[in-house]
Amino acid sequence: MKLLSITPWTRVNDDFLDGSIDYQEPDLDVSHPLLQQDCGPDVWKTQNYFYQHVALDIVSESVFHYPYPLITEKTLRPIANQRMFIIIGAAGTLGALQRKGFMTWGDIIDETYDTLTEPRARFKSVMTAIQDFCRRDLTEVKQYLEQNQYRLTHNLRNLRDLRQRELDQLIKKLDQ
Amino acid sequence: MTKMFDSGIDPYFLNVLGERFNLLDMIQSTEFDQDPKLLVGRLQHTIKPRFDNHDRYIIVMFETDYYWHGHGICLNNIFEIWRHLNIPFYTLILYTNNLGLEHEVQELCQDLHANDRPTIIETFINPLNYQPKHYQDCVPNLDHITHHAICLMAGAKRPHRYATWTALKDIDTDRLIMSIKANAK
Repeated sequence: MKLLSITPWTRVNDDFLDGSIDYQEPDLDVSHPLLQQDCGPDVWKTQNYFYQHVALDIVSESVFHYPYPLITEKTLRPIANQRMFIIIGAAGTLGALQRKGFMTWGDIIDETYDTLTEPRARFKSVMTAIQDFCRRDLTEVKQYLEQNQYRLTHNLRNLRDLRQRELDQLIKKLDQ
Repeated sequence: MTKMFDSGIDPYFLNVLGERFNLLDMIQSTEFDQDPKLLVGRLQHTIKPRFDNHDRYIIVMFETDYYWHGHGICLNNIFEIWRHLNIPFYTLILYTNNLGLEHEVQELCQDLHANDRPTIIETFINPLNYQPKHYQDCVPNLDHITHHAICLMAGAKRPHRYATWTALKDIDTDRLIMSIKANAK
């Protein structure tokens, strides 16, 4: 039996960094003062207090350089809190969400990054998308969100109903 | 029947599977990914000389695999163990949030009969991730938006998080709320 072991098991595949991407390890935990004051114990709850202060969640998923989308609670958090999202994760993560019925934000955020499988190109693309978004006028962003509230509501309802849809699909698959 | 297992799989999914199959065991990949021989030992408690058509094992893979030359090591170990113990592959259900694993499994199953292949359930719904009681219908509150974005990176120490922090740390804190956990030095 040819079993493979890696010690220590890292559970990550993030060896994508090279000299083309600046990388510094912060010396200490860095936290915005707003989070220190307002971060409630339950980040799952819709309309969580600190989420009310922001338009967009930049989701740092568990993996970045990985062959498949791997979606965790980190991505579900902005959907539950009815906010837009950018995902720093594996290529195709936005596509996977769209196939599960979620709406993404390609008309205000350049989502090209999701299609780039080369990790360094994807990282640079997603950072550019974030920087471009943060340069926008906040009033313009709020107007956009007001006009697109239905998408936030759609995504929350889609998340709520997703389990039943997936169960229906599973039952159909098993009973074939 | 389904109450004998710990969490790791959504209870509604578990009920659907429990109604249709004789679930022999449910094992989380984190229980053996660092030492695959632990899976061998676990399976030996339930292995049968002859499996029934309704016998199933559930392996929950809600962790990342380690990829080496394009192959997931944990997934390959599972297949190697199944072959070594001569357990039919139809008994294997993989419940995973690796959304694409089915394709990799198909490649590993090319020599297997069509009726002797694992069942793959690709979903990100598990008891930790999915909290529908909190998904209450309400009008999005947009009145209090004061910042463009938030970026919470307080998870495990990962290079992509540090690279993100490095790339974004100069953005005005009035626009971006950022949090990152580092090891104390």
